[in-house]
Amino acid sequence: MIVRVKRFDPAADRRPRWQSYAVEPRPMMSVLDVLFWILESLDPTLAFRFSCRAGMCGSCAMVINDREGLACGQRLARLRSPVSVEPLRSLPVIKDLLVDLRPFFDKYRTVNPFYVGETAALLGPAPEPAVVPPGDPTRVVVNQQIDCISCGACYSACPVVGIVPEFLGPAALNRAYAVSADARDTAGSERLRRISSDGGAYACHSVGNCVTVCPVGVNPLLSIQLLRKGAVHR
Amino acid sequence: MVALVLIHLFVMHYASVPSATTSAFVGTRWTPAARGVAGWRVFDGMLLLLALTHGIVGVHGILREVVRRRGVRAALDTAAGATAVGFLALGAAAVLAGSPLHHDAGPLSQYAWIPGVLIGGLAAVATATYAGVAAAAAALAWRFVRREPIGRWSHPGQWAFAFNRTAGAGILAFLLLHVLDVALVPFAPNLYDRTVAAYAMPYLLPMEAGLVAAVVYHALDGLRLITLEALDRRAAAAGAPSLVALVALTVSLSLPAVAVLLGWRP
Repeated sequence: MIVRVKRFDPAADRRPRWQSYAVEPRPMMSVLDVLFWILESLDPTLAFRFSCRAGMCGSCAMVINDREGLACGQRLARLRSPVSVEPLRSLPVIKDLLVDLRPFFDKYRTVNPFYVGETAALLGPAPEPAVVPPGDPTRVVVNQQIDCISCGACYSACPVVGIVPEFLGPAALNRAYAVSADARDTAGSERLRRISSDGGAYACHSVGNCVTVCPVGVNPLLSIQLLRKGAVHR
Repeated sequence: MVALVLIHLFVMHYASVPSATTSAFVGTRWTPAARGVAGWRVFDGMLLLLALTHGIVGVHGILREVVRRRGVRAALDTAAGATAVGFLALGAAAVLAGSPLHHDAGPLSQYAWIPGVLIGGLAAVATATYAGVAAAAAALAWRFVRREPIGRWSHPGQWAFAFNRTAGAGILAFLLLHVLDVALVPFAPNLYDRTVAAYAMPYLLPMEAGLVAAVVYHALDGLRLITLEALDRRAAAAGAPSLVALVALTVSLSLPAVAVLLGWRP
C-alpha cells in the first residue's frame, strides 16, 4: 500500500510537497502506527503530534484521504489506496503534519470556555449543590456537546474558517453553548455578546462538515443553532 | 418568497418558454382593465422587492467574508445597496406603469441599441456560467486523474454550500438583466420583444436550463435549512443523503422545464 504524506518545513521549503512511502499493512494497523513505522524505518525527519493513542486526547487529528480524523482511530485496511495524510487545514504548519493550534485555542479562549458561578461567600454555610436531573432536556444536549476533545478536526473542515479569519469556529461556539446552557452559569451575557459579534454564531453557513468529521460524535452545528435561538429569545 | 419564485418559474418556464413571453403576454397580465390583473402586478412587484432584497443581503454577506478592508467593504456595500435601490425603482416604475399603450412602440423605442446591450449581457452571463462550470469540472477531473486529494470537496456539505452560493450569484446576475429587459415592456415594447426573442438562441438555452435548476436548488436548499433549523435537527443537513435528495429533487423538477425549452409541449 502507498501512503502519501504532505511534507513541509517552513524553514527549508518554499511550498508543501507530497512524499510517497510503500507500506506493508499489518492487521489492525492504524494510520498513526504507519506514521511511527515510517518514522522508525524510513524517515526519521517526519513530524507529527500524538499522545494517548486511544482516541481520547485529540492530539493526532489530521486529514486522511480528504477527511479530518484521528490518526490513531483510522484503520489502514479500511482506507482506499493511496492513502493521503495531510496536516489540519486553516492552521499554520510547524512541520509536516504538526500544526500550530494557537489560533484555534486563542478563539476558544475568547468565549470564556469555562463555567462561571456565583461568587461563594467566604464565611457562612456552603450553598446547597444545584440539582440537575439526568433527563433535563437541556442537559441531554449538553451531555453530548461536552464530549468535545478539542482536536481541531471541525475547525479544519469548516470552510467558513478558511474564508473568514475571525470566525470563532465550531469548537469554540460549541463550548460557548455547552457552558451557557448550564442554568447556574452567570457569564451568559458576556458570552452572548461575543458570539453575536463579527465572526460569531451568525457567520456560520450551516455547511455541516464539523458534524461529519467529529471523531467523538459532537454536533457543533446544533450548538450554534441553539446559541442563535438563545440570542433571539434574550 | 419561495412560493412567489416557484409560481413565477412555473408560469415562465413550465407553462411557457421565456422567448414566448412577449410584451403582449406581459401586457395582458398588467392591463388594468383586465379581470384579476391587479393581482399579477402586486405579485410581480412583491417578487421584485423580495428577490432584490434577498440578493443584496447575499451580496452583503459575501462582501463581509471576502473583503478584508473595512473602508473598501463599506464602499462596495454602499454601491451594492445603491444599485439595488436603482433596480428596484426601475422595476417598480415598469410594474406601476403597467401594460404598453401601443404594442409596437413606446417613448424609448427609438433606442434600438438597447436589445443588443441586453442580449450581450445575457451572453456574458451564459459565457461566465459555461466557463465556470467547465473550469470547476476540469479542476476536479485533473485531481481525480492524478489521484490528488480534493480537500474539503469530499464533504457533501461543502457541495451544498458551494451550489447554494453559486446559484445565488447566478440568479442575481440574471435578475438584474431581467429587471432591465422587463422595464422595456411599458416604455419600448418592440425592443422588449426583440430582447426576449433572443432567449430562443441555442447558445442561451443551457444557461436558461441552468437558471431553472439554480432557482429550484436555491429555494429548496433554503427550505431545507429552515426546516432543519426549526426542528433542531441540523445534523441531518450534514449528511450525504440530504444533499443527494436535494440534487435529485432539483434535477427531477428541472427536467420538465428543459423539455419545454427544447420544444416539448404537454
